[in-house]
Amino acid sequence: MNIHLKHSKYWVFLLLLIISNFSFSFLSYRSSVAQNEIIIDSSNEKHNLSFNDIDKMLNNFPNITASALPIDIWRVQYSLWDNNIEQAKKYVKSASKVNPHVYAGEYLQGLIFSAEGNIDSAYFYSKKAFEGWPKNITHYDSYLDILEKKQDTIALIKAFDTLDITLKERPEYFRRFYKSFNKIKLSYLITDFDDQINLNLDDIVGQIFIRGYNFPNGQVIRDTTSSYEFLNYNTLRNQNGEEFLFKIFNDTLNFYFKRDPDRVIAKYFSKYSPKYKTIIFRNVEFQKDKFQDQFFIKSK
Amino acid sequence: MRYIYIFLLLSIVFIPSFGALDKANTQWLYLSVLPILLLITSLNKFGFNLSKSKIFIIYLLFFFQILLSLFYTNNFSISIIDFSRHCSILILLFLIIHLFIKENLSFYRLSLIVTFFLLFETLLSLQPLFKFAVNNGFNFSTITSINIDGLKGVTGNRNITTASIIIKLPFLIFIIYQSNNFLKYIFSALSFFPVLSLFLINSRAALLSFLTIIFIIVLTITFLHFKKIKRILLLIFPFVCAYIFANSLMPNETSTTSQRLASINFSNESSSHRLFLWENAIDYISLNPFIGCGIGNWKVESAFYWGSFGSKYLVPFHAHNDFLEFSTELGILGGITYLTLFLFVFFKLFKLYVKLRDFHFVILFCSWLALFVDSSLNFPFERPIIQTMFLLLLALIISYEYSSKTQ
Repeated sequence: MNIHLKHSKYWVFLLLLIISNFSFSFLSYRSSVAQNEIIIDSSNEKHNLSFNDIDKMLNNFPNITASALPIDIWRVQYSLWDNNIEQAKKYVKSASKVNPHVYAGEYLQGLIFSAEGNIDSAYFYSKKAFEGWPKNITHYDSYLDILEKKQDTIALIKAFDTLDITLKERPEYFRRFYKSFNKIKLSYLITDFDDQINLNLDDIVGQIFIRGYNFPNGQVIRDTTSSYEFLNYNTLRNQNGEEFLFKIFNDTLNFYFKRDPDRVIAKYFSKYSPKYKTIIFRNVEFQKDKFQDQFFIKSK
Repeated sequence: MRYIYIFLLLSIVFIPSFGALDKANTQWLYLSVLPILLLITSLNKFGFNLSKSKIFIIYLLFFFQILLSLFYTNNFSISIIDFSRHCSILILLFLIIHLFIKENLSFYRLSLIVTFFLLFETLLSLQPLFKFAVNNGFNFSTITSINIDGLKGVTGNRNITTASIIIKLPFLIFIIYQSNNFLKYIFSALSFFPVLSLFLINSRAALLSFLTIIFIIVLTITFLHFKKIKRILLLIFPFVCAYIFANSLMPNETSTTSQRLASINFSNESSSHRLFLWENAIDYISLNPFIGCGIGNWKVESAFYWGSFGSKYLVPFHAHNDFLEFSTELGILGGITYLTLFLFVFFKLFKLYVKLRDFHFVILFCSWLALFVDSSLNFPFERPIIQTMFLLLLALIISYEYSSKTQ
């Protein structure tokens, strides 16, 4: 077969080919320039570009970024920054289609549903993103956020269990697991005691109360690093062996130094639950300006 | 004109990124413009009988499979961009072959042009060393550490730099072999720099290619070009000097060339997870043997295997073996066609050498070998700097094949 460019048909064909090549190469170059600008802008605290700017800058040739992520991920991200959730939803679907293996679309879809308060859909998509591409900590975090909202410890344990050993050993993965586990566990903690009454000396004197947590299934977790032993009607001893004087005024328990019995050193709003054998201290300041309820359960 | 055109082709190394995230995009744009220039300047001079080059036919067959993949690709947008790149290569190949066939080409002059670019790339790579000499004098013993990434030069990646150097190096060897008078000494002295860069960067693929090339050249000169046996000294001496100098600069023993060569083995960790990457590609091919994912789509499909491996959104992007990568994208036939192209070129060069006993076929063989090693371990197709050498070598070989049949 001879090809001679003297024939006009070859000339036209070659020219068309060259022009189309140039066009696609130019589009690819423009996309690369746009990505460079967007990466710089998105890494700044304050974004100078809007969705409209980046939409104009990006073309879909190719429709993936230099790291094989769908180009539309940027459109979703900027839509979310512009608080345009409907627009973000539109591009999330196309992003999932372009590169289904990195699950970036599912991750963002999960975030959108979560922001809308649609937890079931958020769970579905964030689970998909996590299972498909667990090595991205943001997928893992996003799924665990949803599990925390759903208070699902079984799914949480399963999620950590299915991780590859290399991921399990990464501190950010196991720390987050324990954090979420504790958070969910604590969300089940009994904090409202229906049978609560004012403190009664007969219930507490001669008893040791250890800090602990009651759960609806009857499980009791004790933290022996904090405890009070009520020695008699006016003296108690803490876990360090230090003795204090105490007095009960209706629903308030006052603490005094032994050497200065007139000056109140601590004052707790207190109740007692006979059913759970638990002293409840409300609004205890455990750090400066930070308050929590504390529970002390009668020792066995 | 042909030399200007070759100069323009290799000038891709001068192309800056012009704001692009990946410089390769700007360089591909440059390659898409080049044919226009050649068409304008050489209007109506083209004509070619396809049947006279089996290599060109194999390449066309490969290209046809790329074209075909546009009809079954998973992602057309990615494929069309890669297709346009293959198109640019094909058009340039077509035009350059004609340029070489129509006008007599001096291999020596061509080697001079390639050597110019080799030295330019090398000097840029060794820039940190020159800066050190300017600031601290020639007392290199004070160097406590070497930032290898600082030696990446114009390409932005040290593996690409060494690949580009090793592919071009045989042309400098040809200049030393062929030059007379003082020129051979000058070029012999200059050959110290590219080899120094190779020994400092210590990319194992490039070192392996380098040793093989030296072995082939020394063997060929010794047994088949005995008259020029003294030239071996001019070749080896600067290389030995570069080796000694590079080793004296290396602060610890594990980074010396000999240690790097000794450390070549086939464990996954030592090969930057290449074995895992190849396993991924082979697995995909075994599942999709006849119809792949479409040209360029391995960038996306490879991510499937990396969900738990590496960091965050890290995707392998390439199979680190162009033959496997094309097999995933075009099916086994595509990969085999591309491999056949390489093997057939080796065979053709060997045949041409046996027939004509011309040393420049040995040079082309060595350069092609370096490209083959790079294609087996990296992804030279994605790098326009390497592709221009692929283009130049292929055009040269096809034009020699063509000429040998027409004579």
